[in-house]
Amino acid sequence: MKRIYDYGFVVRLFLWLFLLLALMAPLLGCAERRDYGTKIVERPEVNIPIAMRESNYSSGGSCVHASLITLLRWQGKERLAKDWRRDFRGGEFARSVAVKLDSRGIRYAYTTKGDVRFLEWACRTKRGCGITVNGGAHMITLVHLDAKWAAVLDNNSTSRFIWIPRDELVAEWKRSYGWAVTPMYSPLAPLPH
Amino acid sequence: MKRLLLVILVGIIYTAMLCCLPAAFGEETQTQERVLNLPADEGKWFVSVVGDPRDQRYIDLLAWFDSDSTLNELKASVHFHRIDNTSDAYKSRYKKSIRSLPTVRVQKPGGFVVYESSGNSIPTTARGLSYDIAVASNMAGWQILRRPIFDGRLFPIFNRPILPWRQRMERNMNNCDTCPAPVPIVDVDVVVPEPAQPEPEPEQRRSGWLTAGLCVLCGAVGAGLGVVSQWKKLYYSEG
Repeated sequence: MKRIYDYGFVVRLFLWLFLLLALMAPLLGCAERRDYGTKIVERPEVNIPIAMRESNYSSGGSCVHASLITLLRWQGKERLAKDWRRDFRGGEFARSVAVKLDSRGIRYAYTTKGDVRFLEWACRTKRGCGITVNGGAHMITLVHLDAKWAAVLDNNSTSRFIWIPRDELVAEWKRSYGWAVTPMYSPLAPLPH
Repeated sequence: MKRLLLVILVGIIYTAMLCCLPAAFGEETQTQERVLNLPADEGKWFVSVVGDPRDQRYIDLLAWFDSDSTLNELKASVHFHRIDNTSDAYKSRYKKSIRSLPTVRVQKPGGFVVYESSGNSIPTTARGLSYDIAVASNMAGWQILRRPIFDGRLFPIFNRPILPWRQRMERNMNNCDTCPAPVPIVDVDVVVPEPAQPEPEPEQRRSGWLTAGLCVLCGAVGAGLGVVSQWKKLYYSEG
């Protein structure tokens, strides 16, 4: 019997295997990607940073204005928000706000019929919206709405989001005349990942 | 006479107050729906151009999105944001993730970064930038390549860059014989149409390790067969 040592075969095999894996790496998702260090899913959907939240700013109550200013900033309209903050204060009604928005040429949408589809749309498109609560005496910003939970940002205390069961919030909103309003511009991009 | 006038004046004021009182928060005598058709644009991609407003390169970059037809088309099809480095938006949501200025970033609706270039790595022409974004978009839509929309063409990026919004446009143009005329929606409270650009269902991320493991296994089996083959040659060869 003659001994044949062909180590070259095994070496060639592993070289081919290595080459194959190297070629397939980008397809397999193994290609080097930058790590942005952020979570994949943002919660709430409308994750407004603290610096962009407007607090209720006048003694007479400017909850509607504060909510609108916050939403304008979130939708990339800082100049409009600044002008609105400078020019308007005090209590508002759906129609008077519509007139003001029209006068500034701001694109917006609102409902006063408590149609929950409006809230779902506003959160799904990451725009958020102002909604009435407390029997219509106060407006807060809705920033999240899913099958179970809703999150709001109260302009009387803007440091944190408040999470409420969805049904509870929707019922409270409908009891408060079901008014919701939002500017219609592009929401800020989600955090990168 | 004065008393009569006073009574009439009070009456007028009272009537005016009655008319105005129902206008409490949210309550109105004649509420009216304003928006009839809400845009279902949750599937739109995001393009952010970030920079220093005093930087000429940043200004030129922004101008490309108006002057170049492809980039302009892109701008109109996505959520486009100009982010100055002096803005709150930059400080709170961009600063940590930006390497250098200016930066162009293209993201899917969920935040996945499809394309990003910054500083000196930004192409020097608008055409170059649009091509790079097109290539990156197609690469990011790798799963899409396996769907029948490309009619079997494996690598359309090497033929001609077809951006996602172009693909949709071209599909629509090809099927326009049967397209119904748009019907204006009137007298509807709130209409939320089906998403015009639905974000594809998030596909299960292919397990790279599993596939790599399979490759290694196949390699091992091949190596084993090779060893067996060599073994047979070694011990059972004649001569």
